[in-house]
Amino acid sequence: MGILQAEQITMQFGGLTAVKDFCLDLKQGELAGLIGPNGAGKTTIFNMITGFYKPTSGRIYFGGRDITGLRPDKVVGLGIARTFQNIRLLANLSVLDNVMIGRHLHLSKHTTFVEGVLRLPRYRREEESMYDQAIRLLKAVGLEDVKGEKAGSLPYGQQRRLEIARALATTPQLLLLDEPAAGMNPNETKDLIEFIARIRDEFDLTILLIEHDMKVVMGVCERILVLDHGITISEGTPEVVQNDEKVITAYLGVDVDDVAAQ
Amino acid sequence: MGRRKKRLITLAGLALLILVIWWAQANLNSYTLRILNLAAINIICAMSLNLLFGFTGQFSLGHAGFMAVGAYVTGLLILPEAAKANIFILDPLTWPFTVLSAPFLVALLAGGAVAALIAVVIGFPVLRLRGDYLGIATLGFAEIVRVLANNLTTVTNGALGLKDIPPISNLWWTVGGAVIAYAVIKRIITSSYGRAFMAIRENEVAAEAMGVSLVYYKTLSFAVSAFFAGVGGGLMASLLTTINPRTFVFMLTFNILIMVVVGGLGSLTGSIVAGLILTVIMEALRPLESPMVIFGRYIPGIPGMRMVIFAIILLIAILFLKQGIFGQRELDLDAMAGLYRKARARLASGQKESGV
Amino acid sequence: MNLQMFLQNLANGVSLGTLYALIACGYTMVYGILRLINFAHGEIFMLGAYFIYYNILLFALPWWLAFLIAVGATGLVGVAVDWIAYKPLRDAPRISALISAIGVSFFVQNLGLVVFGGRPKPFPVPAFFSQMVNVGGVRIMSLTFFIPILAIVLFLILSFLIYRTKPGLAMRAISKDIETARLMAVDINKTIAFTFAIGSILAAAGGAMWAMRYPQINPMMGTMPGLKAFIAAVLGGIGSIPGAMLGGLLIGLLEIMFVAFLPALSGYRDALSFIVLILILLVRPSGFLGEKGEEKV
Repeated sequence: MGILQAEQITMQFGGLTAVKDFCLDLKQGELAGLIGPNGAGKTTIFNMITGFYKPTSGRIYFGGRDITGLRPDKVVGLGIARTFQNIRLLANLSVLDNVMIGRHLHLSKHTTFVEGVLRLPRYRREEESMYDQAIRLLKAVGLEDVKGEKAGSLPYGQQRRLEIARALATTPQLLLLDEPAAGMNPNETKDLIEFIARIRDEFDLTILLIEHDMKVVMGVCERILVLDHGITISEGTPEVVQNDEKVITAYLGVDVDDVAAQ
Repeated sequence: MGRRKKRLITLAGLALLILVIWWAQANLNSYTLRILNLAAINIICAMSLNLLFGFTGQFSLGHAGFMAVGAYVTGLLILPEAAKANIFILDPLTWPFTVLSAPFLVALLAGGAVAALIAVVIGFPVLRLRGDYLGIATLGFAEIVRVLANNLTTVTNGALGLKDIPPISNLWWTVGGAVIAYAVIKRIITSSYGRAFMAIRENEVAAEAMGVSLVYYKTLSFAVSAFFAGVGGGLMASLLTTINPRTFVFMLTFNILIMVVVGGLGSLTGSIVAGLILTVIMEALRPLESPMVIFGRYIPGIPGMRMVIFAIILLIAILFLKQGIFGQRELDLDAMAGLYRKARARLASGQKESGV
Repeated sequence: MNLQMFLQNLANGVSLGTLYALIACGYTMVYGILRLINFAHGEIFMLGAYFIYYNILLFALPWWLAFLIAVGATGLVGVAVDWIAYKPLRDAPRISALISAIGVSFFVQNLGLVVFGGRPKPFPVPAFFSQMVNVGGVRIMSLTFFIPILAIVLFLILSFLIYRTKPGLAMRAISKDIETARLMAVDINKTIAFTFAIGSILAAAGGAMWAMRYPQINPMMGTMPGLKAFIAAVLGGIGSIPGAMLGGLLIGLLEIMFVAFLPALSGYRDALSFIVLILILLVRPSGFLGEKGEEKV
């Protein structure tokens, strides 16, 4: 059995069905991609998995445990971390603080608020190890030099990497990346592809990513799911998906029903 | 700066403060002492509101409510039994408040604790609201507290309130309280827990996605904030010796809010400086509102003039200063050491230039 | 309670409720457009009453002329408040504008204390409004009937303005999406000024009737009705004019009936609307007739 299962999850907003009967079985260590035109429901799936939305129907299992409708902070605690399409950093805090906040959940499991206020030894130990790990992560993503800067003042590409570093700080088993290459130039994109492959091995991760840049998707993903109007229209290796008629028409803007009728 | 050096300077500073308080208590007149006491109490309340609003990003207009809770609890605990019987003439005080009594320190802590407990109870549902809605809901809470204080006559003595509260508050208590409040809040915001508070302020969605439980940390911040507001209220009860529901009108919250905004949201130093300056201005302007005789001519007081000036100060702060005096900066030992280094470097380079 | 008393309370509740509704319209329009709780709105209401008072007392104008001039002047004050205290903060965090609004509220209130004096002033009520009408054995002041009638007329005019005129269309466009409205060449600042003018005029009309109802005025008179009218706007669904009317009516009826049926608890009257507020915010923040906003992650 894989690490994450989504069983026919559906999300409706009022009368609008954003995602319908989405199924997914992610294997441990897999690097999968989720693609589809704008508004296909990709981010909605991320939001359901990470607890920001509660699916209208269907269930989600992580490591065999039912996590459907669990609060986002609980989901992180179980080992699923994510990044956001529109970067959400703590803009006025330092780069270092942004990463350290990812370690807070871990710290709060081993010490208490009162110990923190009184700076008792157990708290100080946790805080020190938190700092060390944050520095190690910043080194891993190449942001150690700017650790004192305000996160909001970093250039775009570095903000994206900081967001990934922050997600890694929560020591996830599963990492969800929402359009990590958005707004990057070809050179940065190339670096990103290598970076994603590298962190998967280094941190022993399973990765699911949403991406519009086909170079990234085809270059790094082992398996791709294609979504259109909330429905999974194709699934398979990059080669399979690339040659799928339905995918081509979906991207060219022909209605899915017409394709199915053909 | 090393930890040991810091600790030494802090201890020296505290020793100096103790000397100053000792001197002030012995030499200053009661009018000046009263202003300093009020300033210290306002600073406690401003710092605690800043923890909630400036550091955690949760806008609250309910501070007067928590101060009222602390004031009544402390007042009831330190009033001697005989005095209670004298005060509650219309409706007798209910048991167990008739017999409950405690030393001032315990009474203050109890006032803070009850305020914090109420904060947890109302915070759990109310803190789901954001921004302006949270503000208006907490304002509603404060008004409800006031209505209760007016009507629960067997506990609060209704509109008459409590009088003859023992005047125990002095600079040792008020400034001591402010120092402790500063130390605790400072340690909170520089800890990992404070980082979680600030993460919520910066971006709730991101904070939650990093594993910060919004319910827990918002409630925690709300409770700590309410605790110090309650303690401030208790100190105030003993300083004024008379409290009634009118003491805790929205204007009290407004005054505290001005101090936080003028000082800078997210700066404890700002709250301290603004708390001190604004309290002094507030008291200095008091004669404006009472009639006086200048050069033999009777000039009637102008009630309301002080609040007009205060409202203008707030408007200037929010419209022109935007960030307040200090913004999010702190003037603590680290910052001072930084300034000192910079000044020395500038001096050194200046000397070099003039030497050439 | 007999039927007569009930009817009397009903009439009182409706007339109080329509006053809340008139004030609530100003809150709901401004919130709909700027997402700002215009804390100073209660003070605008107070100013409306004072302007009429001085028009009659100092300039000895006939009451209807005093009313018209005062209402117009109050509209201008509303626009000025926006221009001075809110406009510079359009791009600032929303809370900044709210704090500014609280500042304006205290400023106007205390300036009123300085200029008008703190002592309540008896408000001249035209004989036409103060005569007693006998309805089925119950004697009710004619004003009690007149308030809902005038309110309905004003609501009809307001609805016409908002739903049938160009400035009204611009208002609705801005409240849906300010950026798109700007791109569609809607004059944002003019429309916002228009909104403040309309809201303030309604508040002034409400202030005039409030003053006649009690019949005295003081600089603090705007605070509580202001807060309650805001609660009414939230209850009805903020941003919705019919919601403001419904909410106002409900709050007014609730207050009067609460005191009528539970006189022992009348001291808790002022807490009642705040409890309603907290409950409605928790159970249904969009109110009865408001639009539900989806939160985007």
